Amino acid sequence: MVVKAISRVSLPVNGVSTFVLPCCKITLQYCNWGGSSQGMRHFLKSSRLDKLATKYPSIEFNIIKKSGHPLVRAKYTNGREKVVCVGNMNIDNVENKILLLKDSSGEQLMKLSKNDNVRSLNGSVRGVWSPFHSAFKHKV
Amino acid sequence: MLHNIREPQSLSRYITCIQSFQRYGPNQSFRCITYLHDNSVKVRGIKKDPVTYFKNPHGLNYSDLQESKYHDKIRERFHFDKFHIKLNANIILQCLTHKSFAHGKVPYNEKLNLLGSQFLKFRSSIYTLNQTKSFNSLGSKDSRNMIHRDTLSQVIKDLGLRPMVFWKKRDPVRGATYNGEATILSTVLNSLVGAILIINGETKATKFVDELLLNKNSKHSLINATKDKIIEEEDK
Amino acid sequence: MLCSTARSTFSNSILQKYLFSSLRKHVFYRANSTLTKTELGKYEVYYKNLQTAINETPETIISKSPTLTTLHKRIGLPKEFTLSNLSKCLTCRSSFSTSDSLTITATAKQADNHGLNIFGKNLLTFHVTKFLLMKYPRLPTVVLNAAINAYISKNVLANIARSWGVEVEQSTIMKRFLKNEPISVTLGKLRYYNNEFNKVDGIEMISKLNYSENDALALFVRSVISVLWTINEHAAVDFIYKYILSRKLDISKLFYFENPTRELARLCERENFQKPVSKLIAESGRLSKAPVFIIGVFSGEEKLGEGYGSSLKEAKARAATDALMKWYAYEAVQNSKQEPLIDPGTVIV
Repeated sequence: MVVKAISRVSLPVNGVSTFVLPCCKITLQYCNWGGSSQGMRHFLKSSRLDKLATKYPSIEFNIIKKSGHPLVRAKYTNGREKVVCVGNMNIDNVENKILLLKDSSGEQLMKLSKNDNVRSLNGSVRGVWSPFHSAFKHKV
Repeated sequence: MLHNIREPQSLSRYITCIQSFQRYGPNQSFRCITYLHDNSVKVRGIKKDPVTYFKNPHGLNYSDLQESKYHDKIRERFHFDKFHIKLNANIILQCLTHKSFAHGKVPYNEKLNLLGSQFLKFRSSIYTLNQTKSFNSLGSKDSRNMIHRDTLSQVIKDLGLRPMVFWKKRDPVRGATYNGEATILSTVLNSLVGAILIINGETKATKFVDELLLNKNSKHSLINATKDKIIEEEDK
Repeated sequence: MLCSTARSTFSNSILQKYLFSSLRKHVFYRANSTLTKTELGKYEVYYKNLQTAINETPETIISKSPTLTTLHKRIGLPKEFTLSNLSKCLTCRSSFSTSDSLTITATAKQADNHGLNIFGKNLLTFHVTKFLLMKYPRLPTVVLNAAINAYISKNVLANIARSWGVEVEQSTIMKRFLKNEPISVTLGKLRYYNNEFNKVDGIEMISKLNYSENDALALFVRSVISVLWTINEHAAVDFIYKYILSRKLDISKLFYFENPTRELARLCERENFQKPVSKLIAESGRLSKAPVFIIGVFSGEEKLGEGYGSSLKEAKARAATDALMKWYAYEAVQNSKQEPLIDPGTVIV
């Protein structure tokens, strides 16, 4: 046999034909005594958490009572975890932080350079320009 | 060059080689000539006449097959009319040709066999499931024996298709086990299933497999062929 | 400390002793008290309850498991796919404790994913093979097999399971008991061999059933597909297309030609094309340190392929590879009226 195979793996493309929300678990940690947990306690008492949980049935919500500043911990399908401290925040800000974590892909934040706006697994449709194939012959 | 000589008994050939080696030196190319018993001459590296290798082990010639005798026989044995299956002659012949035949120059059944065996495996697991109503019986000896190559080749033999298969023996003198005849015959059945699946679609292929091959009441079914002999369970 | 390929030496009594001492150790650290009989009794009750819950998967406990319900929603399973079925998919046969593994009861066998996995594997292999063969009818068999593996090898399926957020049970039953963990938590996690001892304890069991984590995750994916099939055949096929065949695979990256020019010549001979001839199309800087040559390979008037290279030989090989790739990686027109293509096979050189 002259043809041989190189073993490779197929790459995941979340969002093509199906989408799995990367955030899979959110843990809310509050303190029953500390003043910094005031907003978090409000949030837990209100119906907002219920609404959130019904809207996103694929996220598991856990609540932990622990002394110290209140925290929001999110776990992602890529195995990473993101933690945000929501100490001294009011109820709206706490909710915003939770939504922020919910929307995150779990990847580490990084700055994209100017020409790095498009990332794709597919090659360019137009192809790369070649001087050998253009109609106009360049003279050097 | 010397290490290429496989048969020590062909002394004349051996001597020819040594002599030419001495005469021309190591960098000189030369042809190795062997005189066979039937007075014919075999020259290493020279293209063979297709007539010499276009015959299967039973002497059937590949180039002059008649559709009424060959292809229609396959269609009739597998009841293609009953299942409304249409396969053209080229594809039927491809299904019955193994890769070893004619140095792979003619269409052969390797990939059809792959697809057919997967499909047969899948249908047979459904059959086992329907029989026992339990997923745990799937890895059992019986369910694996049903699609074992020996069972498949038994069906081909029962249908009398053995002389019609085109393949080349590894060693014409030795027996079926050494030459792997069971594997070759099983590829024929597998690839017929595969070809039906591709050309006639999954519905017809399912019907064909379920009613002909995986059916106790069918004469040449895999179920009945399994019972005929006990295959030792391979230790995995 | 103890590797047990000879499982008989690892007798029940030794195991009991080990558990006993480990319990003593844990309790000692935790409550600074010596072991009492009632403590061991409680552990036994917990252990038994856990086992029955896994085997029987009662709806009362299962519906309380948030991990399981969210996993169900996350991968968009239909309502008919019950949570107890999902929990069954998460139970690998290797998870039965070592002391029981010699005599796995019939009920326990019913509750694991062993059979489901086999069926799922058959289903998956068939559909992926069919998909690839219909799409690329001329793939050489080795490449076809590599492509099948690229979609459904153990590691790929394990990655798929991870992307679904499947959690793996890592802690020992003892730890779970000491944490007072509800049984429903265990039911939502993937259970396979490793959870009898801690890794730090240095005891590792080596046996046929000793699946790795990737093995166990792949078992889960296959069993989910086969349960789906029992509910609705089309749903299972859809699921395969949605989660597995939608992955990105560049088929041309799987090829490796050892002798492209020779193979192309044989291919042209078999297909009755004219003999392939390589012709120089363009060049630049032949005598410089960085020359570029563009060579096309022609069969009669037809151009079969084109390649570049910094030497004539390299460009010629690239051109032949390009031509072969265009032949082998030919993509069939989907849903066309013409009859599906069955190719004669790879050329043998």
